[in-house]
Amino acid sequence: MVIDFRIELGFVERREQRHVAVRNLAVQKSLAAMAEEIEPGEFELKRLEREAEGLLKINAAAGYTVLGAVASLRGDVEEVHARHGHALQLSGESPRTLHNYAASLVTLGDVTGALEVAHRAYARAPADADMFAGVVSTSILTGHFREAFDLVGAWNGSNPERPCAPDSPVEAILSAIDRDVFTEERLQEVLAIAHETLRSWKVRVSRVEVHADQHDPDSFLFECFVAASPEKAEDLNEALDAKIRDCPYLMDDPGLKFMPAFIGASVDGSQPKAAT
Amino acid sequence: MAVSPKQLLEAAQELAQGNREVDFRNAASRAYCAAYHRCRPVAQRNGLRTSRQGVHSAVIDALRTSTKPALKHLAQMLARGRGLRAKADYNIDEEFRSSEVQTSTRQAQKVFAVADQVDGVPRR
Repeated sequence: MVIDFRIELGFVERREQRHVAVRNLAVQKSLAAMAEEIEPGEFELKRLEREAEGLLKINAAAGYTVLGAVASLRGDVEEVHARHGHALQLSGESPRTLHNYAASLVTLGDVTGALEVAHRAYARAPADADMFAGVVSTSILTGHFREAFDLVGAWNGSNPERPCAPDSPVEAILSAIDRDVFTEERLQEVLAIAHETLRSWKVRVSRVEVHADQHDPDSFLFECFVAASPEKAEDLNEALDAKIRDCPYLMDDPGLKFMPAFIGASVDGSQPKAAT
Repeated sequence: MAVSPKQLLEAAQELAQGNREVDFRNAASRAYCAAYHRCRPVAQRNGLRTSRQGVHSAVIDALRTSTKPALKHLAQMLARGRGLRAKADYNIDEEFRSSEVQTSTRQAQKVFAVADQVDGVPRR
């Protein structure tokens, strides 16, 4: 199971020219690439801001969304809320604008806030596959596995022509919860500590993968690919382990049956070689 | 002993220098194996029972339930390494990245360092 968080400027209107749509796509790609950098370059951020200012004249909500996304890359909490708030006002709280706001909140590390916003987006467009994916992703990111599972069931009930395959690690996690291997509340607590660790170290998560262990089907690896060097990711794992060790009950529930792992996946001088 | 845990770790580090995904997978697998073999005698020397079935889980569990923070720490790193090793060995239809192998080998190195401290091996 893989979760990616991307800004999607999918609200180019018909009257807009083709080159605007192409430019929007380029902005999206730049934002996605920069989200994986340890420290996005100020030159590139400024360039995106200029793009956003250009967009303001054509589609103001899209422009403010890009400004919000740039602010999230800078870690500027107030600016994120202000820019996305403006975009929401202008778009009448369109699902896509909410979806993008949620993506910026994930970039900031506010995954609980992102979950709430993703729910609002999905409630407004329950037949939109992107909104559905957004709310399922943020549910899993915050450890709300039952909710994610139920959402998939409801989606498949309402959209039989576009079924979403059930996610096997999520099903396996729920099976382990049902057999009292661990509780969902403690999984959420572990993930809250993991996100808090990232937030306090000002490191962004770019992608998440959940895996069940083939040898021990009740053991799970929650891989968080983060915008950090491998060295820093290792320090993050140390910090996370210490917090879990210090908690009087997390070493028993979930114990070590549910292990988050920070993986440094950044573009910098120490960028690991790509697998071929 | 025909091969030591340290030699397994060195083999993992060499494999991690490769540029093929299969090298990354093999390195992660060897790194976990090295860490496991380094931890097992540590658990036993500390009076923890590791002999029941499912030896890997038994070692991790024994260390986890220890009262010593350093042993709990070993359990955490071993469990993480085991998860990465499982992905490397069994989830062959999913990409295994060099960043993952770096985490695997670093975790294993750290396991050795902590285990040496527990054993009272002087730092070099």
